[in-house]
This record gives sequence, structure tokens and C-alpha cells, in this order.
Amino acid sequence: MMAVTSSCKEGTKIAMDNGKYVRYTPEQVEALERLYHECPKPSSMRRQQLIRECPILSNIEPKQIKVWFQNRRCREKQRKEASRLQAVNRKLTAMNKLLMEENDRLQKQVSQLVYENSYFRQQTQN
Amino acid sequence: MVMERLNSNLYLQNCYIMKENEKLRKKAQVLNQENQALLSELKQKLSKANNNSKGKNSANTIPDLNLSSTSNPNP
Repeated sequence: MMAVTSSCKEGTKIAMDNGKYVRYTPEQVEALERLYHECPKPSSMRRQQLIRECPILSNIEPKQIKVWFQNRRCREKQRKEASRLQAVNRKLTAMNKLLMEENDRLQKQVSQLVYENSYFRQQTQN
Repeated sequence: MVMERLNSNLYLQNCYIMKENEKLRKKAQVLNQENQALLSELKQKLSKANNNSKGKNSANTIPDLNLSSTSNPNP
């Protein structure tokens, strides 16, 4: 039988129940997060044990617990990837800044040399 | 996905600027060599002009070590 979740629930994690999206309570999410950090990929047996040991989670269907952990691992991957991309972005931006500064310096240097060049030519012709 | 696009663009831009900077460095090197040559040419010219004027100018204080009779010996 499906877990009955008649009222709208708070919390950041979402589950499907009878085709409807429902959220777990902050207490439930807190418990699940704690368990996740202890063990991100619990076995079926371990999950059953977790539900027995944690009364807050007792009204969640075992299937939903399994799904929650799957989604949580997926979210972790997404966060790590986003983090990685941000770090790459910072590096590329810093590199970009340095290169533009160097470019500016070199253009000025060439400008100066072109000026000197024409000056010397002019002086030589005198 | 937006971030990936941004990173790709940044990367490409960096590659482009690197190439441009390399071109500029080469150009600076070439110009510098040219300038050094022009400068030494100019110096030669100036020193020649200076030597030419030494013979004709009796007010010249630089002693003329040339033993030719047309030169003015300075004390």
C-alpha cells in the first residue's frame, strides 16, 4: 500500500505519491541527509534497517526511500559538476584578464616602436 | 549548460588572444632590430657629418691628430 500523504508537506526534497508530487518534512529531510552522509549508497537490507531504527521515516514507503537516495546521489553529482565548471570558469576568466593586459602592453610597445622607426627614418633623410 | 557555453567561449577567446600576442611579440622583435639598425646608421651619419665639419671649422676644440698641412694644430 502507498504511504498516505494527504496534506502538502514542507521540505526541499520531493516524492511522487499516487501520481502527485509531495515533499518530505524538514525533520524527514534532515534525517535522510544525515543518513546519506553516513552512507550514500545503502543496500536494500540496510535501508530496511534504517526505517526500523528511524521512526521519523516510518511512514515513508521503502520504495520511496530507495528513490530518495538515488535522487540524492544524482543531485550530488550535479552539484559537483556545477562546482567544477565554476572553478574552470574562474581560471579561464583570470587567464583572459592576463592575456588582455599583455595584449594591451604589446600593442603599446609596437606603437612606440613604429613611431621610433619613422622618426629615425626621417632623421636619416635630413 | 550556460556555464559550459561561457567556458567554451572564454577558452576560444584566450586561444585567439594568445595567437595575437605572439604575432605582436614577433612584430616588436622585427621593429626593434630595424630600429637598432636605423639608429646605428643615424649615428654613423651624424659622426661623419661631425668629422667633416671638424676640418673646416677652426674654432673646433677637439685636437686634430691628422698630420696634413691643412689642419690647424691646437695647443
